[in-house]
Amino acid sequence: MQTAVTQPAYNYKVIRQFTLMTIAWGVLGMCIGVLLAAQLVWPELNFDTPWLSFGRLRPLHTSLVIFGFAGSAQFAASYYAVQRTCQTRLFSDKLAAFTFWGWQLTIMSMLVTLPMGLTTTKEYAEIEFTGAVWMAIVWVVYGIVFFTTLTQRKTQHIYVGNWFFGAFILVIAMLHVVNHLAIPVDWFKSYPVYSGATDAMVQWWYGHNAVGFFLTTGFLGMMYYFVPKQVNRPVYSYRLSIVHFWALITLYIWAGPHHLHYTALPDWAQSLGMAMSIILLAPSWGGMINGMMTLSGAWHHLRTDPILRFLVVSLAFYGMSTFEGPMMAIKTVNALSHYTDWTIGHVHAGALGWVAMITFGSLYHLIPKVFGREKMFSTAMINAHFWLATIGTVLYIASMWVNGITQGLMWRAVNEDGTLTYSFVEALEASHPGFVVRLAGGLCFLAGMLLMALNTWLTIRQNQAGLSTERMPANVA
Amino acid sequence: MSPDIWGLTVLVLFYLGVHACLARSSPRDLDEAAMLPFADDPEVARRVERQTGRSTTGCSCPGRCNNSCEHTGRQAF
Repeated sequence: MQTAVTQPAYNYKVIRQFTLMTIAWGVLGMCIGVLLAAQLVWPELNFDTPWLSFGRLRPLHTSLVIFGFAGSAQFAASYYAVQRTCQTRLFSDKLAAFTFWGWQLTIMSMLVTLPMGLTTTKEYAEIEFTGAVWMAIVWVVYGIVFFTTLTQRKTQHIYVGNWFFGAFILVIAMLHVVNHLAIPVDWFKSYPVYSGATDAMVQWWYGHNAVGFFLTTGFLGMMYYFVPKQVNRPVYSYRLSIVHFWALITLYIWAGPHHLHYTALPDWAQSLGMAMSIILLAPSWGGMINGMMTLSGAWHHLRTDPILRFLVVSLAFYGMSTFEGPMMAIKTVNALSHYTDWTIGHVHAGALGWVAMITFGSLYHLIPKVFGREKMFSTAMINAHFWLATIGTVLYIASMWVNGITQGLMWRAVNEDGTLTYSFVEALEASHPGFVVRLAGGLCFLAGMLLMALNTWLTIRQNQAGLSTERMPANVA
Repeated sequence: MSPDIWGLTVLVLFYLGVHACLARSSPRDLDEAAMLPFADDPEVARRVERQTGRSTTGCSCPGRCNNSCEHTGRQAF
């Protein structure tokens, strides 16, 4: 193994840029999320303004947090991990810079076009034709930078985290291109080449794997690099991590039809989606247990290290939401949960509990290193962020569980004569307390995110005399 | 199309993938790969060695490295 050698000149500039934009898009995306939660409590908060209406801001919220926040985080983490585990500089500074500016341009186009109502109407794929083509170009360049760096590695092995990042890049490219196949009639107006049930199936093949690959596989790559680093232990079982990788990528891609239970989709496809979703529990928990067990003999670090707490709690939420997902994919459970707030709670258990928390933990680990500081400005602020994020997530998902089950039961309740027991508005009124608690949870989570932004700013502004020369070699760009 | 065919496809892909990755890897290879996150960070590598007893200063042999084994100073796997 190549160790204790002169550090190669890593390209940290692009990582610093993506890190800062992760925080910026996170703050903005979560602000919009909180506004949407407030609109569901007080609908008049849309001020009768079309671009402030729920229908236009909701896709903007999801696009900013998925592609802006989570996407930028994965660019930063993958560029960091691939350089350090391959002990080589990123391939082509110019192409790496292109991916940064190109990706930001993509997010900016979402920021402008979605409030204008320019949308494909496909969930998580709302960006219209020109933006989608540009996004594909940037993604291909990302693939070139990442995979060429892998081929130029100075180590024999490709670390398992890079396998996850690689799968994330390849599969997202495939999903994005297939789902966005359309006939353009204008720069920002197009019609999909699919129709009817086929269109729905392609959309949810994409939609579920946006979760599976954009919001899971890349973050597992992050987990496999940053958990061992933070806990100072190698991953519990490297063999299990390989099995985890292959099981996850062979199973995830088939689970999409569970979004279309009781629809016009052929019954066999629905059953296939359900079966694959249930089997998916095994690799998901295998990965979660592998991450958790990496702390064997080092659990005491949790008392003093809030960064490690973020990483471990994210794994706990990952385990919880990957148990909940397969349960919700069972047709009889889905008959109760579908179209209710339970789904929203499930998504946020993954998005806030898993994706955001592992991002926070990884960035707190990474920021001092790429900015050449000894550590983050304030550990107390990281600790406060951890508790705000945890309390916010719990409030959010608990309120949505209660709302979801309430709604599901009220919608299906029938009188003896076969008429509905409750009107839709009555179910909506019953959901109001849950909407208020969800808003409180969202505000907590956003407050934590703002603390992170402040802590990062103060870290960057720290006196240069506090620079760690070991952590910031002179040849780092 | 029968779901059985898709299920079989998944199983075959899974088997081939795992086989291709693990069949030719010795436990030593896997140990070395697991140590990669620490390989370029001497400070962390020393901490890992201190806390786990696994050497990271030349190879991933079990136990503390005494700089005398055949792998010492090797710059690549």
